[in-house]
Amino acid sequence: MKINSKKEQIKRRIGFLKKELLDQKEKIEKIEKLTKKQIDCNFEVNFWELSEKELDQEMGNRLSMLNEDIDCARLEKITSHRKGVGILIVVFKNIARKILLPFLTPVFEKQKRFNEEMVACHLASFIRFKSIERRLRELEKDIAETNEKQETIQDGIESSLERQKKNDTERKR
Amino acid sequence: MIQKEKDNYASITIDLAKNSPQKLPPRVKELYEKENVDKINSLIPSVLSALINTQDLEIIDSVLPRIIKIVSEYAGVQISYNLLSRIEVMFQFRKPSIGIYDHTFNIIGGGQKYGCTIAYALQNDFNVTLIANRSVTQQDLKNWYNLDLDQCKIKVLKLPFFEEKGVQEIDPLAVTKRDENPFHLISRESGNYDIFINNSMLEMVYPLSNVSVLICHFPERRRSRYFYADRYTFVVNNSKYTAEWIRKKWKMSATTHIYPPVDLHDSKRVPQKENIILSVARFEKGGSKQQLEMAKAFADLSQANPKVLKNWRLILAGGSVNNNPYLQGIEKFLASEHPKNIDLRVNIPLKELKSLYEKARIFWHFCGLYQSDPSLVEHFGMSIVEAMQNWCVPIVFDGGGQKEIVEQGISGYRFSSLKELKDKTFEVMNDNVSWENLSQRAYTRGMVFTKEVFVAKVKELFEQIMNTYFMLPSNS
Repeated sequence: MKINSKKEQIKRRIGFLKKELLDQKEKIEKIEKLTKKQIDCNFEVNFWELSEKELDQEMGNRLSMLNEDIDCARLEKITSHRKGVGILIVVFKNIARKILLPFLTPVFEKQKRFNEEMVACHLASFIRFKSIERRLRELEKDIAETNEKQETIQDGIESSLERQKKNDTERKR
Repeated sequence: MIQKEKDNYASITIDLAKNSPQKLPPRVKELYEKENVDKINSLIPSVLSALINTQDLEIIDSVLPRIIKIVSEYAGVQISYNLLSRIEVMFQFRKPSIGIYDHTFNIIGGGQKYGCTIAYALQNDFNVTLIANRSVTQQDLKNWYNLDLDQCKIKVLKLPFFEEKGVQEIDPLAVTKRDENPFHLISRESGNYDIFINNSMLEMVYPLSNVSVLICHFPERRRSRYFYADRYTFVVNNSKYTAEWIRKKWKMSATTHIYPPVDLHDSKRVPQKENIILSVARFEKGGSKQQLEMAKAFADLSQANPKVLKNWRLILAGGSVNNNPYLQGIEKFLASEHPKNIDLRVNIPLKELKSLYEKARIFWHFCGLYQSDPSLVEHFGMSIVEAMQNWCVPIVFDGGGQKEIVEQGISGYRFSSLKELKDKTFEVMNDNVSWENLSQRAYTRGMVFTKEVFVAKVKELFEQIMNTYFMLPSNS
């Protein structure tokens, strides 16, 4: 009876502690903070290891990322997370931007045009490459089919030659 | 030497828990400061169980919260939570809990059947929750896989990343390196269970539970920013082919091998057979199952041997989505070339499928033919086993998981070219004695992959998990 009661009390106590921890868990946003561990690693992609399908995916992903970044002249809104001084920082940055922008805009515009041409060029090459690949696949398939047909014909010829040989031998007898 | 040292500090700490419990919190703090955090985390359960077993309630009440606070401080709140959960299970305060996640539970498939059968195997001994991203009911799962999962709960967690995009399918490839990991929501959920099973092949879910199991049906992606497969306690592979690609792509080894469950066998006698060559495979949009090649091969075979083939039929059965261009291509071929004796059976009910398996003498499977991408080769081949369990002689492409199922010349044939396929098929068609022998051995081989075998393997793995992670240590 006493043992049971101790077990029950510990069970309740643990339940209570878990409830407290659950509340704490909900307040923590990052998984890294929950486990006090760095969880993400940077992995270099070794393109030579990738299959054709994976290379296609890589090309597609990287092309769409380049596409997203074309407009280097796009201006993000200036903000600050600091209280009090934050307003001053924002004002200062806005003034600095207004002073520098007329000098930087032509450079950014030129870069933007270059980016657009680069992405378009990559996309065109990608499409061209895919169409060549499709034709190559068709050719490979045709060759395989032709080889098989050739083998079948060869088998047919060989078996008829053998039959003929047999017939000849029988006739000679 | 190091192990000896570890044993030494572990036994000193456990002795403190037994004899001077008030000195335990400063001791734990000191260990966390001096030693590796993971090492100390693995020691704490033994220390706490010694404390609970030997001390009065009053002392436990004063020491336990202090230790938990120290663990939170050095190892994180999740580890403290896990520690208490582990103690609960060790002292049998409750049944251990399992969360099984699959982002495709709402779709019918072999991988999903695998996860559901694990739930089926464990539902009596564990509190099992199926975690899905889209609505699905126990009744759906029963209809699809004939599994009674009444004891399991289902929890649906919607992922805002995909909901905002308004996409039907949850495609991990949509997550780029620049996006926040949308699967962190699932990671957080995993921390609410004693054991978390990830049946999704989604290595982007970081496991937070005490024990974690990643079921890998095939390693589709390589190591990239959100790669956490190596953080799981166990990695289960469904075939040797998958294990080989886990090694090649992820540079790590799977820990446990369990073949998928296949149970489409009703009788122990050979059913009444007809001259049917059967293929059962989904009509994939990309054509990876090669049904069009099958139709062409059958047409060629008929043209070369019209006398024999006039009594045979090829039936192509399988599921398909609406407006499937590949299926339309097959229909076009059948309409234009007029090959005789080829039937298409799309989206037929299970009963009809069973009856086809019973009637067919030969089973064709081309998946992998003309493929250079390893993910497009069959990772296992459940439909082949279904056919074998119904005395069909399998003639399948020599690649992927198919090599593990069909023993060449014993329980069927494997081919590398269409010529080889046609030769073997013609041979089996013409030699009834050979068919009978192959068919009997195919049935015996097919019975190696039944649900019963699968359930036993799963239970064995979870017994090992319970004995390793949730048993009271003998020294406590």
